Amino acid sequence: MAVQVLDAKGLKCPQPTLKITAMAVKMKPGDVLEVTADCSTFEKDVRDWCTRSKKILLWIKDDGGVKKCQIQF
Amino acid sequence: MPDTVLGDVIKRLTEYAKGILSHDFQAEPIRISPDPYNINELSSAIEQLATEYRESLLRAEETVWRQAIAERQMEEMLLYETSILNNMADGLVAINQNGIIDIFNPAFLSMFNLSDREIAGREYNEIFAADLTSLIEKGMSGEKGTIKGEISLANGRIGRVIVNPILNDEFLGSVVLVHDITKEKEIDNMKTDFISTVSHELRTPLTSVLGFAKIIKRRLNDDIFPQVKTEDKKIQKAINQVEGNIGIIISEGERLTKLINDVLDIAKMEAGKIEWKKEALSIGEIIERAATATYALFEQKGLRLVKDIEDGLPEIIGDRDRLIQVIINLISNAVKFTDKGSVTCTAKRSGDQIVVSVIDTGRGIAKEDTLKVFEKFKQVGEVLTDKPAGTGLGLPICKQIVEHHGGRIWVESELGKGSVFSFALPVPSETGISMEAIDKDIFIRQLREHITAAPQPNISGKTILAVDDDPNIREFLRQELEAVGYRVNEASDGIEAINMIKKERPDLILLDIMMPKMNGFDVAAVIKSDPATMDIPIIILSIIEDKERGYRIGVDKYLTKPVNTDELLHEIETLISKGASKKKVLVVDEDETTIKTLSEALAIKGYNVVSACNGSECIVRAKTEMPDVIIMDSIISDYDNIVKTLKFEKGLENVLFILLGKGKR
Repeated sequence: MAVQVLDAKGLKCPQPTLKITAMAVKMKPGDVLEVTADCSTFEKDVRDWCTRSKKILLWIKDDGGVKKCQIQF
Repeated sequence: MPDTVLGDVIKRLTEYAKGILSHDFQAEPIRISPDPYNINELSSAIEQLATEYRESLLRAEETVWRQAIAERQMEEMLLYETSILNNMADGLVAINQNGIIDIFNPAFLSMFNLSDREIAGREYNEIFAADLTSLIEKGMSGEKGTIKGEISLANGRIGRVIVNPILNDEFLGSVVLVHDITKEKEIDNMKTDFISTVSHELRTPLTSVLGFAKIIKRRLNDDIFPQVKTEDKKIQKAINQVEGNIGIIISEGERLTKLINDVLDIAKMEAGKIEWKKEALSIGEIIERAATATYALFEQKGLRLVKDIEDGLPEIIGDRDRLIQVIINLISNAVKFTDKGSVTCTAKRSGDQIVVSVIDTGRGIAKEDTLKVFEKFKQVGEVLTDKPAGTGLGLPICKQIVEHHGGRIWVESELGKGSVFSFALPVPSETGISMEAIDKDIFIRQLREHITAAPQPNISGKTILAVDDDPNIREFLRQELEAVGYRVNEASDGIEAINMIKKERPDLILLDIMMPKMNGFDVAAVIKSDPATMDIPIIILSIIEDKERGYRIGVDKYLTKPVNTDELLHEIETLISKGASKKKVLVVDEDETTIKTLSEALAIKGYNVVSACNGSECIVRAKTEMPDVIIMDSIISDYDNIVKTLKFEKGLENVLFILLGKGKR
């Protein structure tokens, strides 16, 4: 159960989700990716991404102006 | 439309547009009715923009995804290949075109006790030892073909190296593979030791058996049988039987000796233990040599040898003695199976090969046997009526020799119609000049040249045969030799010489080389290969400097003209007197029976014999007994140290050393 961390702070859409896509290739079933981003559309994008890729969005929360979430692969 | 409704619609449009900005792609577009300002069109346009925007995001995502997959596959491949390198048993190192060490594997590092820090990025000639460096250098220089060599590895191990260029339209560097052959070498050495030991162990008792059998035969014939004067038929019969039996023991013993030699020969060939010589050869000359050596066989059976050698045949590279052996073998077989008529030997060029054929008019070989004849121990013919005369290994040995030279050997024959045995050898595309390996026998004879026995002149009644085509030289020799009391016979060419030797056996032969019909080397070869004449000392007097060839044939001394008379007389005295005086001989051998056999044989010849059974005892005995001749088994190690040691001893400077057998050296 490895937790990979992706820091996408400062990146403008669509870069955060593209980065998630790139990292997804290396994730093995059961792995968890924790992403931090401050792009305004991030929450919507990440939910959308998970729906399309059929991965589970474990949680998403606001952490001092920055969005944090965990995706289960 | 009232202002407030328009304002509302614009507000809704704005909300819609903002929703899209915040990636809410599910939002419904605005539709109003009535639509006097075409708000619906604006709304549709915004909706399209949204769709295109979303699609380009998805495309971007797909591109990223594909790229990431491709990268991962490449990483996995790289990881796999690295694992292969890491798990290889052989060492691998790649040098780039600038001579920098690029890639290497753990096996390579451990073979040389290096760490990757020490070699990564360094130049190969800075780090590697000279043996490896020179091989890599050859590879980097673009030398054609695979470069192979043996080098030393860490901890006293040995490696075999193969260097190949890395080519991909252009030259990218060299890749070096190193394989540890330490174990292989050990096994190789064991094989050599085994063959030498077996050779020695088999031959030693056989030497005694044959030696004593011959002594017994001589004693019976010279000393015992003549004393038996009896009319008793039974005793007569017994004597004849004993004589016959001893004869059989000796001939079978000799056959066994030849068999052992052949078996060991072929075993050595198959184990790759033969030291093959490489030199430029003329096929015509080799055939001549073989013809000379088999001359006696033809004489005995009244057959003719016809030679048909094409003009202008190119030279080939090969081992002279071995190829002569092949031709002698084929000719001997031809003579063996032919009762009348002739045997023909031809040599002609056929494309890029030279084909030598030996044709006989003998009884031929059945078609189904034509391949079998080259198999070991298969002798063809009627099992019950034909006694096997040979060892059954002659042709297999020929096959080994021919094939070693990259050639092929075969036979065409029909029962009752004679046979044609042929072998083909490739003509080299460029004749290279190669170094001859030093032949041990030649070395020994040359060693002897430095050690001469003290001469004790005993001239009276000795006959010398002088062979030279120049009548003035013959006259000169006659005068010089008669002046000191020798009897002189003359011969003006090789054939005459051989006939004279048969008529009256000389005590020594003076031989010229350049003579018509048959040159001196060939005469010497014939004399040395006939048991009846092989022990007549031969001195070659010639203007040609070819000592090695002379010694290889077995001549005793080689002097070049113009010859100093005093020196010549001295040499003659030395060689003749060796057989006459009561010389002291020290026999050194580990095996007691060998010592006994040799001692008996020497004693019969009139020598005074002492013995030793190892190197150190030899030195001790030599110092106390002061022998004239020391006969040593060559397996006794450090023989040349013994020679050196004893040469410096007062009184032993002129000792003649004779080495027996072909041991490890």
